Amino acid sequence: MNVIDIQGLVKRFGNNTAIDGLDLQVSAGRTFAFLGPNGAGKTTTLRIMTGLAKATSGKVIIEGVEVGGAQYPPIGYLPDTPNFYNWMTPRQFLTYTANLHHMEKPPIGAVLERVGLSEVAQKRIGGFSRGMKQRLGLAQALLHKPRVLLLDEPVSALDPAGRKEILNIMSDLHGQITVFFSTHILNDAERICDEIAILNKGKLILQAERETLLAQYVHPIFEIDTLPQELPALRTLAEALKQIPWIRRIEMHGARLRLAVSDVSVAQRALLPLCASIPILRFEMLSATLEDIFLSLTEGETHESVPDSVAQGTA
Amino acid sequence: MSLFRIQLLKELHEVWATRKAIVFLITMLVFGLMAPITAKLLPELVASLGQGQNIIITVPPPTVSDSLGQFVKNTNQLVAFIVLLLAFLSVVSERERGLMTLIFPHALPRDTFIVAKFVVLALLLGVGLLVEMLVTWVYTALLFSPPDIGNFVSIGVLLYLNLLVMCALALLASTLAQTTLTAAAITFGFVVVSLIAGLLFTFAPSKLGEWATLLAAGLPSAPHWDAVATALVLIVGAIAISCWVLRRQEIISATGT
Repeated sequence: MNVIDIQGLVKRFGNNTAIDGLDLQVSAGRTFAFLGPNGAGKTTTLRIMTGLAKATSGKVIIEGVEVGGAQYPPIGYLPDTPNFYNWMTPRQFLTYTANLHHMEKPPIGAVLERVGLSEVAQKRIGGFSRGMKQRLGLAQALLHKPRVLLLDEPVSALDPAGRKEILNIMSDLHGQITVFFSTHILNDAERICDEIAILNKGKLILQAERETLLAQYVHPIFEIDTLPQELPALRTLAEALKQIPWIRRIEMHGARLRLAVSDVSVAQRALLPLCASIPILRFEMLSATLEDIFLSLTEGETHESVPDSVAQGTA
Repeated sequence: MSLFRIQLLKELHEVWATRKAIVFLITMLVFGLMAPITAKLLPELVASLGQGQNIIITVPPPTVSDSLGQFVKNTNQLVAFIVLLLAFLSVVSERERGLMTLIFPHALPRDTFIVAKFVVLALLLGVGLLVEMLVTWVYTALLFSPPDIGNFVSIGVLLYLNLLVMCALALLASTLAQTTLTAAAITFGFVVVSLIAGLLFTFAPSKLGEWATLLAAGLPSAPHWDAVATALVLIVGAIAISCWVLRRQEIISATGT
């Protein structure tokens, strides 16, 4: 059963089309990652899903309730930069939001414990760090036990420790509620999601199960490390490799060359001899990550089309 | 508990916790003291200016009317300024800080948000005005003679109504605007229009202030019931439009996305 059903969603700001005919369905209990570069339309989509913005056309139905109608869908929402009433304490804010949902015995203590804010429950929010506000934001989104949790870039502004904590909480929710989150941190999406959609310039370019997606893009990555003083030679090599048809994408990170290839067996035999002009410190074949797939799809540098089975999605 | 009551309690808690209420009440208390004391001391001060220069300045002895006149002036100018400041920041500050993006998805109707804000502002203003009136009445009684209570209450009601109009219009400006600066500009525009309307039309709400001034001076005055009606229509209209506008608005986050 689809708990989120987005049908033909269009959002225009003047002449600019932020979302262009988005169709998306999410099943119950999934952890769904909504990926896209900055300006792709992720936040706009989430704002429409929460009723904070109105669609130019199309509709969003969550748990059978059309967003923007007389009824409110059963959602919890964490905006990208949650801000609070600085004069309140976390306990006061959660009591306020629990009252808005007419909760008689809200599990405020348990939720604060879950997000690691029990010790500061009586402190004013005004003195909180960004990470603490993010955790409190997650607490207020979870408190009323929504069936759908919408998170806008929940970890992008956090340090590694803060990110890990939030991701662990999201991971614990797996299977209990439907989690729909936008992100551009691909490692995080790869770590916790079941399903992925990639949005670019307002259009859905792919929706698929994470495993299916990674399996479809088995094309490995070759990494070649050289000496730092060999950078000019590495650049020349990179330019030359661009002409090779079985090399799909080339990235240079310092003295490291990263190549995505479409024909592994050819690359295994032919790539090393092509690199004879530089001293090689390391030559390694790696599996493609979600980041590689994402870059291929959003930068349009791929030489091959998206496989039909992936582009149409499996949900 | 109804959503309106929850929101009302939150707003009341806010004016208390942020010390807005206490600062406002102390300010009103000071204004209440200022009116009779200024009326009492100003003539003596003016007369003393002539001393030592062989100039005799004759100032008529101050009366109850001077004290009440000063009270009306303070309320119409200084209190009105503070009320405008409180009201024009009320909605736009929550918008700018991204607080709306957090609370509206919690099934809080936007009408409830606006009406609760106005009711708390009206309550705060009402209590503040009562404090100011009480202090003015007591000190006027001590320094001069007790003012007529019926007349004084009428003055208070007229001033309250006039201030509520400003409060409602500033709240509308705060709802219409996306930034504090725009809200301030729209509020200023409303004030200018209402002042011009006061010069042109007898039914303008600013006539309520003139009516109160005449009552304070103990002069005969024709009642401006048309101005009372206009004030009531403007208050209800401004709040209704604020609700309608906020219902239709797109709410942006603190980062402007």
